[in-house]
Amino acid sequence: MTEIERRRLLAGLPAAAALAASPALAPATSARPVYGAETFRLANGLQGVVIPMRRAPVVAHMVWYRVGGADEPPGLSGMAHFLEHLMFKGTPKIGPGQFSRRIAREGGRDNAFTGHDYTAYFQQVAADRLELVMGMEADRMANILLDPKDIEPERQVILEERLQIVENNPRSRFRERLAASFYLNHPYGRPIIGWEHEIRAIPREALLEFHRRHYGPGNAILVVQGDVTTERVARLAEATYGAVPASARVDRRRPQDPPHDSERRLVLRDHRVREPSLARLYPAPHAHASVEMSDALEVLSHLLGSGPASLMWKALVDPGLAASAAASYGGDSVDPSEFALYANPRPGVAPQTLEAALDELLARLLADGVTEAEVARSLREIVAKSVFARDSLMGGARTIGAALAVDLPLEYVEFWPSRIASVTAQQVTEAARAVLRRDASLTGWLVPAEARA
Amino acid sequence: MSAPRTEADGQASWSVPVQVVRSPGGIDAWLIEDHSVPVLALAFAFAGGAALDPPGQEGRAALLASLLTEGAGPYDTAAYASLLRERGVTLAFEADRDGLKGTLRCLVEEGAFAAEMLALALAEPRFDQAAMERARAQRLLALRREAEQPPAVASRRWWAEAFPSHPFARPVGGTEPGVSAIDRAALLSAREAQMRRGSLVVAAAGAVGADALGRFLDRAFAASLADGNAEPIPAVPEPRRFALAVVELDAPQATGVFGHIALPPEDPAWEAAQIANWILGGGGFSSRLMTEVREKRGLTYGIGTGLLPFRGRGLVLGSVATDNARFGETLAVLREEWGKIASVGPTEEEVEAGKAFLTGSFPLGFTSTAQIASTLVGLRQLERAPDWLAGRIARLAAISVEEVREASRRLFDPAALSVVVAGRPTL
Repeated sequence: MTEIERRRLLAGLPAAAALAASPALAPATSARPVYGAETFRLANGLQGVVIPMRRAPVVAHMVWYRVGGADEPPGLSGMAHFLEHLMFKGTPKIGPGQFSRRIAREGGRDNAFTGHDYTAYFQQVAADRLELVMGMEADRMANILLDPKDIEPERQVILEERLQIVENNPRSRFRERLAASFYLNHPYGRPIIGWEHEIRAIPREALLEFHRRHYGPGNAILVVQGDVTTERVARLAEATYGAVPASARVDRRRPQDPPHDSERRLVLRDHRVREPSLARLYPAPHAHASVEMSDALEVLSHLLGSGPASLMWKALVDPGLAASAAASYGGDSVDPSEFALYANPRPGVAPQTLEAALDELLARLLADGVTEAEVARSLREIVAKSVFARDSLMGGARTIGAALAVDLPLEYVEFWPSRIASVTAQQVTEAARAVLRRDASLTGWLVPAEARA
Repeated sequence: MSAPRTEADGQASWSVPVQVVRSPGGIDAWLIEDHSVPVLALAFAFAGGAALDPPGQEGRAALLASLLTEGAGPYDTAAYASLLRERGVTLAFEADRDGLKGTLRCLVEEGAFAAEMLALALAEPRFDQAAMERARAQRLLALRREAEQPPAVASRRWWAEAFPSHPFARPVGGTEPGVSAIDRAALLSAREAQMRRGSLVVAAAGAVGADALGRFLDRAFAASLADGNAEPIPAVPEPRRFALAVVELDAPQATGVFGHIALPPEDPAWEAAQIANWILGGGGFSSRLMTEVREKRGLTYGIGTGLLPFRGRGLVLGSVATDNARFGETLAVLREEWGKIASVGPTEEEVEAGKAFLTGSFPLGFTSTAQIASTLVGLRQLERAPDWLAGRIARLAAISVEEVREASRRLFDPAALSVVVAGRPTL
């Protein structure tokens, strides 16, 4: 429990900020929790979250492990993702390839995904099948087989996956190379799927050890959304996950980046590409460092790059320099990550013309600051979207699971709209000045093989 | 739908009652009313779509769809977008092969505002010169990116080979010359050709009753559309069978798109064919193709097939990607499995598994307001009866093993399997 208290302190002041919401926005931003999630914890360490939703007699059941691509030992990139695939290869109770068949036979859908900070498994089933899927998920948490004869074909599958999602797509290759260049020391620079030569080299023993170390109830978060009560989920969790031996929460200490203090460029030439793309990345703090700063950066990213009223649209798209432009930032990570800007020149526009216009916009923004009107518009747009958060079976489970898996408290998600609504123009200007520093940035161009940039 | 239930009776008492609503102004809509979240979703479609793109103007419907939300009435692009976004209204149009689709989602309390903004987009789209040039540039960029992607390249070629004398041969997203040739007059005629009251189907879902929906429908549609029907689309012919076609593309992995004719959605055996397709390639990790090509041999990350229903015509279409050197092996396994299910048919266990999945997973299709509205409008486009959903589980449950075997024989034909590969495959 002391850990949770500490995280609350680290994560700042959600409750206070919620009450300070601007009166003009009051109807949309009263400090009610977005999902109304409830929590429990089993004696073996498993944390449980329940989001009741009674629209149809179905549930989404997710288990999140606090481990991802950034937690792999050096030289074994792709191992967290490889293990995610192998979790479907059976236990002494469930034969290889039978996990998903069994779920389908019960009218359910299942899958899994891996991030830099987490690995998550989920099923969507009729509410009366919840105990069954919890039992199956608890079984593979404790009893994975990793039969060598299943590992090798799956390694081929993953190499094909890498070809399909990275090598066959010049834009994905560009993003992969950007991250690898941007991070100076942090494993966020490694692709989640892994480098090809390292995927080929991951040994069974390392996979087993990775599972043994990270896949325990104390390192996992159970999230159930749908037609259930917290009492029922807690009872079923005790009967299934409760039987798994207790495990400790795993401390995550990754190599950190030194201060970024140079302006860098990356040019990727690809002869498959006909139209160039621009990316600009800046190191940015995360919500663990400062929720206030992280919220301000979220508003800045909206104000700069979201929709036809945004600053990048007005400066780049409207005058005909770019076909599209966007900004992206997320503060919900274990370690600090990036604030990114993207733009694609209109056919015929020279790359340097677009880049110069972007730099001019940013220089003006940093000199003059953002206006109250721009911030007010952004806040209205962001908060208006949040009312749809409950309109899907798994959206809440995904959002809450992703926050808890990076050790942010539930309140970080539940009171997000009211907190965002309290961000001021001054905070956004200060955040922009702190983060949009050219001397710490990476500028990337993807260009046709014969072009210069 | 949202009445409290006990654990025991959950599934049994759940149903999806479709109301057929007629507005005072005479607009029909299907509605699934559900008050669990205060949201209204609307999905609607005009018959037409890319099939009405004239030769030389490929991409006309796609450009029309993107420009309908780029300014209307007194509002330019930024003003129109900001009004919608600040009040949490999402409105989008999309061109399909045979229709122009629209989706709208808003809070119920913003219904009147959303309906008026929709009416404005339908009645008075501005097609400003700057917006047109922007949309054209975005479309051209998208086309040039598609040309980098083996799946998009293979799919384009498949439709072109299969429908040599029908508009379905032409890509929905257009071609570079086609998109470059479209002017304001062309957009106005695209609108004139299909956005008509007689060619509109509408469905809604969410926290709205029949009366309130009727008022919404009249605000949105009653005065914003010309009367009459869309220009008819030529009936979709049987797809042509063709020999293996390879599109040379410099990519490390080859992508195959494959398929042939299927039973039409009007066929009484359509749902038995859905079960047969689930068994061969539609059932994800349960399917024969995933088992044989991915699980056993590690030849691909994914392989799958789907049934595509058009009025009076069905297609079965699939895709797979394997590194160039091993693509021949993937193709051999694919052809073998296609032949096996056509000749021997599925096992009793497979049929039971398919029925269990399709019946058991049915409620999963009704968990978001927008998804429900889209499902309903899709059924209306196929001219299903309003009670089609209500009877779905009972109909599936009543299908026999022999019916699925018969449907497999009718559906899968290894001799007709027509394959396009984009990449540098070793065959």
